[in-house]
Amino acid sequence: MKKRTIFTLIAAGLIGSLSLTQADTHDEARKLRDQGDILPLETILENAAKDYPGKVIEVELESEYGGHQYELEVLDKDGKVWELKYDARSGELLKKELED
Amino acid sequence: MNSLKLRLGTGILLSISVIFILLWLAGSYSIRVLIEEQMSTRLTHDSESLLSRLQFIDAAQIRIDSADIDSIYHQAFSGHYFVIRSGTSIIRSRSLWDQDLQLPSPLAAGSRQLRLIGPQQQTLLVVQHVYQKQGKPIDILVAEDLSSIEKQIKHFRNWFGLVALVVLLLLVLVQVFIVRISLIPLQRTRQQIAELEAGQRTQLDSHVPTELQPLVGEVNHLLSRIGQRLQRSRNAVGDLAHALKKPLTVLTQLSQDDRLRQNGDIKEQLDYHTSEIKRSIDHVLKRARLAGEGPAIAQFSLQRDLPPLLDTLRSMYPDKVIVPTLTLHDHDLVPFDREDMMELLGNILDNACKWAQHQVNLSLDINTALQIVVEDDGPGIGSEDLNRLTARGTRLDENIQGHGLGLSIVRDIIQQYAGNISFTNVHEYNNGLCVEISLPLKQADGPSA
Repeated sequence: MKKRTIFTLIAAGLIGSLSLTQADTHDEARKLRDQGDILPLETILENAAKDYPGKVIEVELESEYGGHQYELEVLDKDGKVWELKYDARSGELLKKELED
Repeated sequence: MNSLKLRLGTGILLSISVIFILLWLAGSYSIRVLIEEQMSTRLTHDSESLLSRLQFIDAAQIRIDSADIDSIYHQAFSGHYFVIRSGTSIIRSRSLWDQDLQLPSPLAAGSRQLRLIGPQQQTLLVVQHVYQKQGKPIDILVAEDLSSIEKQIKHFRNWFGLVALVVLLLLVLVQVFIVRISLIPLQRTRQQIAELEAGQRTQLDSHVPTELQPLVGEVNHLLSRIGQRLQRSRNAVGDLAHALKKPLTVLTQLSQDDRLRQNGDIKEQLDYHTSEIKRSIDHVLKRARLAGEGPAIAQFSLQRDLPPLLDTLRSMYPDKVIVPTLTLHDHDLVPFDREDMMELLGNILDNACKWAQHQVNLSLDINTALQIVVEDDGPGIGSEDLNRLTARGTRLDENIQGHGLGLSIVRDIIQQYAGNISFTNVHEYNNGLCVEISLPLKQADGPSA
């Protein structure tokens, strides 16, 4: 229960800015996956868990440069948050960096 | 399964194991039920809060403001999901991302609880409710991942199993300890029975646990009965012998009667038979005297039983010297029945004393067998009779005076203990008789009758 309240607090800030676009992102993601344009999130997460074990605290689907990218935020066991960017079609890791 | 320890051990192990397994199952089940009930209540709350935030855009379209929803429903594959259906319009929680739940058909009314497989193979507890809002049916499914609970239950099970195993082990140890302690009286009684056989005690200690008391009581009762019976039969034989003595004296006197002189053959027969009766009576009385007062069941103790026997013989033959030579090698008890040995030694020594002029030598030697050698300085026996005496199965009672009844009993005893006897003449002692007896120690564990 405690966890959930903490999450609510964190999320309040996070979601506040995104709420307008978010409502449709996941429906979009499903449509793209059904069309075969992007890989299922499960596959992306599986790969990410292999390379960067930790807890996935945020997932976003972005569209830049005419393609789709999955941007993950992973909390590792040292408490550091990693930002990982995968090509949503090929599953290739595009970028990783420690979030400030 | 003839060991009490083993039987008790298996019994307790089985019953405790069954109890633990039942506790284990009941424990896991209750925890699961409790958690799921709590979870289902929470899911219903979430379902109702979703309903309150639900808006109709138009007659057919529904929408929900995602800002009002708990963030856990936003995070992809978080384990918390919802699906809202109204007519053809569907809202999925963001956490479902690109996955669909295998939706059950909408309910007509009320609610139900079910399980579905969600993203990443999560097992979901699903609560489905159907509501009416603005006259339209709204079907809401709220789901939560059970994996973490399954993990907790598994954790509990492992811990419980481990604790149960340790407790079980401790209980078995304690039980083995208790059984060992409870069986100590039994071992003590067994020790006492060994002492009984060795003649070191006449009764078993009756201060034993209640469970053992009937057994010990029975054995004690039997022992005293045997003792009484032995005493009674000794007395009876003695009484009979004494009772026969007087009429026998009368018969002996009658045989001297003048009227019998004329019938020499009758007198001869009468003399012979009365003397036979007298010999038998004397033998019985002597035997009773030599046997002395002893426990009914006992092994022969050289230190306890030999001196009184020699004393008795010395008092019976005050003018003869008995010289014992003992090579015992620390032996005291020999595995032969006390009564048998008293009878055997008594008979042989009595015979020797009877025929000796001055001295009787007794030598006892123990190695693998008990070797008894008795020599007298009497007249000895003719070589023809010697051979017949030594030959197996020959009874010389009738032929050799004084070696009669006693010898046949001696033979029986020796045969019983698988021993042997031989007779020779001792030249140093004026042709006296030498009797050698050998009784093997090993075979004497259980005398073969």
